[in-house]
Amino acid sequence: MTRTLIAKAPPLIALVAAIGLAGCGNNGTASSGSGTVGGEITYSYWGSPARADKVNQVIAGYQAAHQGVKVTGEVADYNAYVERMTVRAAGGGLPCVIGTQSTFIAPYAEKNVLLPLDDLIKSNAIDVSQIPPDILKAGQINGKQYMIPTGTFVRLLAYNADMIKASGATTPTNDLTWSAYSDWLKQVQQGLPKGKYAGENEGGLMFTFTSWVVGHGQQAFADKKLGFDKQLMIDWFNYWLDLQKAGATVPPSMLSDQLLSLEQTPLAKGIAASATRDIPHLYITQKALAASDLGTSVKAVSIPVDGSVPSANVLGSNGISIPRSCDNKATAASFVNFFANDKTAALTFQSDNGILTNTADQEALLADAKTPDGVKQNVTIFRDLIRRGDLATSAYPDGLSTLTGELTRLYQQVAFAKMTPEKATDAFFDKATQALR
Amino acid sequence: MAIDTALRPVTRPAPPVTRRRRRNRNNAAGYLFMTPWLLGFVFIIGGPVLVSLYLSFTDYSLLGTPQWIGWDNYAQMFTADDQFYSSLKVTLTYLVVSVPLVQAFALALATILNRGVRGLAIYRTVYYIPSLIGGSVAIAILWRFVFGANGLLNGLLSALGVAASTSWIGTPDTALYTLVVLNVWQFGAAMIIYLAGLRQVPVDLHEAARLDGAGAVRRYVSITLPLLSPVILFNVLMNMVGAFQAFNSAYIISDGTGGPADSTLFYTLYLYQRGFVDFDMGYASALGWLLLVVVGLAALALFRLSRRLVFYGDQS
Repeated sequence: MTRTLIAKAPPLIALVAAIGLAGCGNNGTASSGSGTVGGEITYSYWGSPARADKVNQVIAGYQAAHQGVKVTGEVADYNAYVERMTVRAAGGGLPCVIGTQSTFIAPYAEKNVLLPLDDLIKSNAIDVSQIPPDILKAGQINGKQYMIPTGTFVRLLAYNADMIKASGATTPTNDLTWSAYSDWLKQVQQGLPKGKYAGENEGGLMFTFTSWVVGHGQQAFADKKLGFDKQLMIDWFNYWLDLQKAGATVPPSMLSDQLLSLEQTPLAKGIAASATRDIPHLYITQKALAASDLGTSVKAVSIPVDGSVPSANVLGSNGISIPRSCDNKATAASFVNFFANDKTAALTFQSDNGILTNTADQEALLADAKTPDGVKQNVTIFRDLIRRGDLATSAYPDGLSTLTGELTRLYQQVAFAKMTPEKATDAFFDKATQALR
Repeated sequence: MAIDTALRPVTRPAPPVTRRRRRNRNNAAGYLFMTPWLLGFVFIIGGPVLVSLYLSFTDYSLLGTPQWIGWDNYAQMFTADDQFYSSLKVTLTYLVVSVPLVQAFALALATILNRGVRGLAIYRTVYYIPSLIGGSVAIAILWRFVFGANGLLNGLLSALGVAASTSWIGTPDTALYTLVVLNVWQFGAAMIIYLAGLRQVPVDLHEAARLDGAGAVRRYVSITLPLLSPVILFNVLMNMVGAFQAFNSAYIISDGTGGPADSTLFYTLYLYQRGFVDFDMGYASALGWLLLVVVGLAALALFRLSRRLVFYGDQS
């Protein structure tokens, strides 16, 4: 996800504000969403001003098709959005339609904030027939559908084709093993000038680590516990330390640069020749490189795997949910259905927040002359992955955000030689015991 | 005697009951005018603050119900939380290094400007501007461009023949000091207060001392600094409390992580992480209350120290 920098309220004030809402919990009641479509609802989501423009057009299209309904859009930066969502959920003040993501819906579903949408799906108030079942699963927690996935992201290994060509190395392929990937990075590095690196240093990135775990035939999470053994994590830290020592990744002092907005990362600035990226990010990276005249071709191959594991291209999804506290569920369901299925809405939104999950809309997007080439490229890559069956899934439990930050922090300690891989692994497992409750 | 008494106006004190009534009436009017603020304080600030005290003794994830766990949050803080100690160390280092530097810069500049330089208003404005914008997101982002691997500082060093390619912000040993520089750069507000204080130092004291043969340094140490000491106390106190609460710059520069390797993990940033990343509001509340106690104790220590070091003019 693109992360933009924002001002934060002083934390003590924010904490007090959150606490002020603490006593106002709202369980709400489940509903089938039957009733008249009408009245006013609010759709809250995250994204850039450009995305807000597109959403406003979708809302205008919905209102034109549903006279008497008023939908108000609310947009915020991703981090601010997630924080605000939790605070509003605590106070029972969530709007009727909210943007959600497979990586963070678990706590909201488990704590009865979100409405299970199964009844709405059964009654055809929300049509999911065009969304592949495997992708639909990304919105399920404990077998219930809490989110309608509308946009998918898949982790892949992206590379700057111009830099790789200039280095004299071969281009990577879809059947890389992690060991071969390491050798390839070292080979690329030999052909690069000083100040350029074969890869980013991804030891602290949770989603790449998830691909590593899945690529080794284990699970990142299982039954509210870590699903992998300690040795696998120690190997992970040592893998990146080895590359770091060989000079094949950006130095530790640039680790923080990898956490900036996509356009500011070493890959997008032409400093690193490869890194893992979600599919929608390929086009953004390509545009950033082109803007700086640093190569115009960003390509992607599958994430490396070891052994007989079929795929480590871990899939996630952005989508839409309805809180239990919504007092206009019929209209909320109608809007969700429109967003997920209406062809005009799909052409307007242009896969702005992940590749559209609706297969009919994907066709329409590819056929439409107004669709940008980069978006078409993303859709094509995604459809190819589905065709090859080269996709993997992972659970995203409550506590993931804590562990994501913890891995980043611990790897920085390892990279700066302030902690051994073994100690960092122990610390991560200790943290997981607290976080995954 | 009797006549005398009759002619003299009788000035009897008003009965105590009447005086109390008048006072109560005056107080009632005062309280009435204060009502909006009092209501705001009780319901928007006081209430949540008290609730946070309760929450500090609970396990509360914001979406669930608070579970009473007694002193566990506080015990965990002191016995099983390395990041708590890291954040304390970072904050105290920042405070100890940056507060004296800010005061020294501000006082030095104020002293120079107080010598009657031409264009004082322009200098005052220019030096004050960083105080207005220094804590902003834009400046924090700018700091990345100054202290990054390909930043202005390294460019300047290269121009001077010193090869430097390190990212001052990306290296644990130097990252915190870039934030210290950012804080020191915002010395303007303290400088304006010092300038106002310096204007209050009586000129005749300096003239008398000069006639007695005192040099400039002697007069500065024996006259200016003692008379300025209440202002110094005020500036140090405000800067110290600000240092304890420093957040924005570290949040922006480290992208909210407190990195690299916890080197910019201010206490408030850690509190924010526990509250709004981990959604562990009980623990975050405990951290908040501990901060309140620490800032209170530090302020108390400063006031105690001021009894010996601050001169209020009316002392013999």
